[in-house]
Amino acid sequence: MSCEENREMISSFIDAELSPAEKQMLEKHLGGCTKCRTLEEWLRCVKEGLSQSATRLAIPSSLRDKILASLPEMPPRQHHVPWWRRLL
Amino acid sequence: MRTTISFPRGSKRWLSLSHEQRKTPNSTPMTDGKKSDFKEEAISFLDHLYRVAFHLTRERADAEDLVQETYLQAVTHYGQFSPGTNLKGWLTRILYNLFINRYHRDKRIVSLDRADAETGVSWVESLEGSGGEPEAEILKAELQNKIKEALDSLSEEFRTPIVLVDIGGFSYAEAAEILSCPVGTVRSRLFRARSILAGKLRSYVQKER
Repeated sequence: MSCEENREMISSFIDAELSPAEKQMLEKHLGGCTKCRTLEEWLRCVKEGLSQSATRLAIPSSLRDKILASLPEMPPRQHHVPWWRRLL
Repeated sequence: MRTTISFPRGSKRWLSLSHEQRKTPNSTPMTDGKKSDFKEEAISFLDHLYRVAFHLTRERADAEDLVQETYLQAVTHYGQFSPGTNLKGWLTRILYNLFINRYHRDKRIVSLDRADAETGVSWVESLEGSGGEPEAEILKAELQNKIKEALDSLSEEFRTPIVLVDIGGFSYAEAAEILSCPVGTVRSRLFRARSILAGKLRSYVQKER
């Protein structure tokens, strides 16, 4: 498989979204291709950077309180009542 | 070519049951205990929904409105949620569809930047065998500060899968369900989006060196 064919798989590889066979094939390629390993490093850097910066972001406590206070009472589920039962 | 996921005005598409939910219809009425469980569990996703909303809208005030509206809609229509299924995914789908309906209608979404789509991944061709890796931890920390800026510059088409998978923690299948698109689309857009972001960060590193 060429480097170009492997690139999209590298992105799925870091998300653990490859089948065992695809994973094995890609790992074999990465073992012998420094160019694709460099790409893997950069894509991992992006993924880690995004997830780490996201975990630092929390909902403002004022908004949390506002949402909790504004949630309406939950309406009862509507159940189908057969016509004959409504006559009783 | 841009693929726009849009719904007719006033559409209640986000209320429809997912494929999984249709397979296991909920026939048991929700007791009062279950109602408060639903509310409690839904509240546990506040931070998650806020992060997704913030990265979709890129505006704090818009994100706040979107999260608030999502909870109101979820509580109003909780009867359409099947207990025991993916509540995080259901809430995120409500949020995403509100985002699409509201922001596309208001034309506040920046259209796809073709330059990003076509040339943003070209740096990959110029990769050398070694020496270009983001190896140092200090460098990684610095890049994290730049990454939000780079993410905001992406068009919605590429930003959305990144927000759902890398920030929201969804699998490809879950992201595809939320976006109503094939898993292959999520996979290829993620690769292109990450490549564009990596290219932007790499240019920044080269300037600093």
